[in-house]
Amino acid sequence: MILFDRVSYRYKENQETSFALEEVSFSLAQNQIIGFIGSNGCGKTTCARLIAGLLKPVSGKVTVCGIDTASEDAEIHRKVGIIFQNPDNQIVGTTVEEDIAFGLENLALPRDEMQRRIESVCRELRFEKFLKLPVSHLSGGQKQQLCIASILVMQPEWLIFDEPTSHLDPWARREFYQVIKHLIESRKVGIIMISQVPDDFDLFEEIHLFSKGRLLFTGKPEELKYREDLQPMFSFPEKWYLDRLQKEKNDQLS
Amino acid sequence: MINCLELREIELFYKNRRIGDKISCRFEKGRVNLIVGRAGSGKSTLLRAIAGFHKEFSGKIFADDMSFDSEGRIALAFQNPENLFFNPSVGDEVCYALIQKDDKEFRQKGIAWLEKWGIEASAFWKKHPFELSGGEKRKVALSACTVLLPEVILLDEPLAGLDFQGREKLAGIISQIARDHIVIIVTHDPENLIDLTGRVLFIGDQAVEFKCVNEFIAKSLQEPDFYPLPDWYVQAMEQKPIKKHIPRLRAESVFKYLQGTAEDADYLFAG
Ligand SMILES: Nc1ncnc2c1ncn2[C@@H]1O[C@H](COP(=O)(O)OP(=O)(O)OP(=O)(O)O)[C@@H](O)[C@H]1O
Ligand SMILES: Nc1ncnc2c1ncn2[C@@H]1O[C@H](COP(=O)(O)OP(=O)(O)O)[C@@H](O)[C@H]1O
Ligand SMILES: [Mg+2]
Ligand SMILES: [Mg+2]
Repeated sequence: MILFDRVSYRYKENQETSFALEEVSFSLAQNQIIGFIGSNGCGKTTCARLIAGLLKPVSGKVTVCGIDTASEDAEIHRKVGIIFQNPDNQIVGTTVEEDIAFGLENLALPRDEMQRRIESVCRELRFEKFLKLPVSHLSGGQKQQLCIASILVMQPEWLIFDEPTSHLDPWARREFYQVIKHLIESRKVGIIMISQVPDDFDLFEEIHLFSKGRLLFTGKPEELKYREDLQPMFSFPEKWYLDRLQKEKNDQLS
Repeated sequence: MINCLELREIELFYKNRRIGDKISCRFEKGRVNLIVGRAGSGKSTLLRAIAGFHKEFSGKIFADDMSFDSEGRIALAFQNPENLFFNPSVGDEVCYALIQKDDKEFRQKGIAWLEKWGIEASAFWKKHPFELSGGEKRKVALSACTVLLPEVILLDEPLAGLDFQGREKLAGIISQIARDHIVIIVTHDPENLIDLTGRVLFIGDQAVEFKCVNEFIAKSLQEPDFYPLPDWYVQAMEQKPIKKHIPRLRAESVFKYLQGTAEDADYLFAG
């Protein structure tokens, strides 16, 4: 469970023009794929950083799996894995295997437990054939899978993806959707995905729509699609517009 | 002003390793030229070669049948906006090229151009480019990079990270520029640009193809493995087989097409 209780945040205090996240409250339950959407600069990445404990709220409280993120409890970094938009910024090893082992080294696990986790995650993602390769040989989509593998071996309870598909080609996007669906079915985990890519929206079981540092809408995509009142704050994708046109026509006919 | 930029049998290399097949095509002004294909197929390298930054290639580039010298005639917006930033503020970033050109009105021009891309100058002018959100970085980079509007504009994945409004804004700016500039755009999201597109260069594993946008979409619909179009469009188009004209990738056009009430304006540019 993730709880935001009247959370506010500003990057720079006391500047009138600077961005502020204002008293945002919500709760997120595991075992589903949750979409964070909204215009550029509305605060999606800021919320992700707050959940991962990379930022602390100015006021209010963020609780993740029962831990208050302001408490400096390092456990939070094991509970939440975050995958940033540009995988290059996140890869630290020179070979695939080294990169996956990097986070585990800090957990002081026995060697064979480490090996066991690496093997099982790589088998699951069908990534074994890359283990010995230098990371520089991977494509964009493969680098992203490497980041996923490196985080999954830590056995986190939450996975946050910040615009995971923006730089993927359309084939790699479809492979990514398969990986995500498999993850949510095969383990106890919650997935938060920030996105601007309309095809991604089909994955979301719940959507949080942000606008200018506030939470505007929480609910099912099926419901949001027909909320024309929210359109001035967020342009809906073409696909939703087509669904609406078709529904209007069916309503007329019946 | 250049009317046509022609690539003749371009082969790209990195330290003698060849990237992809030979590429031959003619990029014209008037409409946008799109480049699509798999990651790693060499799209970014091709743009850098055209811009003169990547020297390791064989074949020739011509501008209106004369050998093309890119010096001072191109703008290239990199795939990663952070690679472009080297100034301490958004304002300096956007005005840099104008100041280099001794433009006395650099400030007014910089502000106007930045706002055109959807970045409010009053709030962002003094901010450090690295203290922006992902989409804001993209907008500032695109704005800074195109402020002088040289003859050839190359944009590498400019839509990545932009919100829907930003995409529409970009499409609006580009459609104006393309009238009298050569515009070449690499993208994984053709949906928002296809209305402006004349030709598409597809760089695939098996072959390189250069097609009119209409033929490109037709082939993608007929052979789903060729190029995956947005799911909603593919699914809608399964309901009614395509004949000669193909509807735009817009909800309204597709809806009218399915109803049988589409007009000329609802169809893609057909060459
Ligand atoms: N490190 C920072 N320092 C100062 N301001 C920042 C910083 N990071 C982000 N901001 C500002 O905070 C606001 C929210 O940023 P955030 O990154 O959360 O947006 P976002 O919703 O993820 O947008 P996008 O879709 O563009 O990625 C923006 O206006 C941005 O300029
Ligand atoms: N600096 C470099 N050194 C060596 N190889 C590179 C370099 N940059 C890219 N490559 C290789 O060139 C190929 C094409 O890369 P790129 O042009 O970035 O593709 P795209 O933009 O189509 O994704 C890839 O196989 C990539 O690994
Ligand atoms: Mg962001
Ligand atoms: Mg590229």
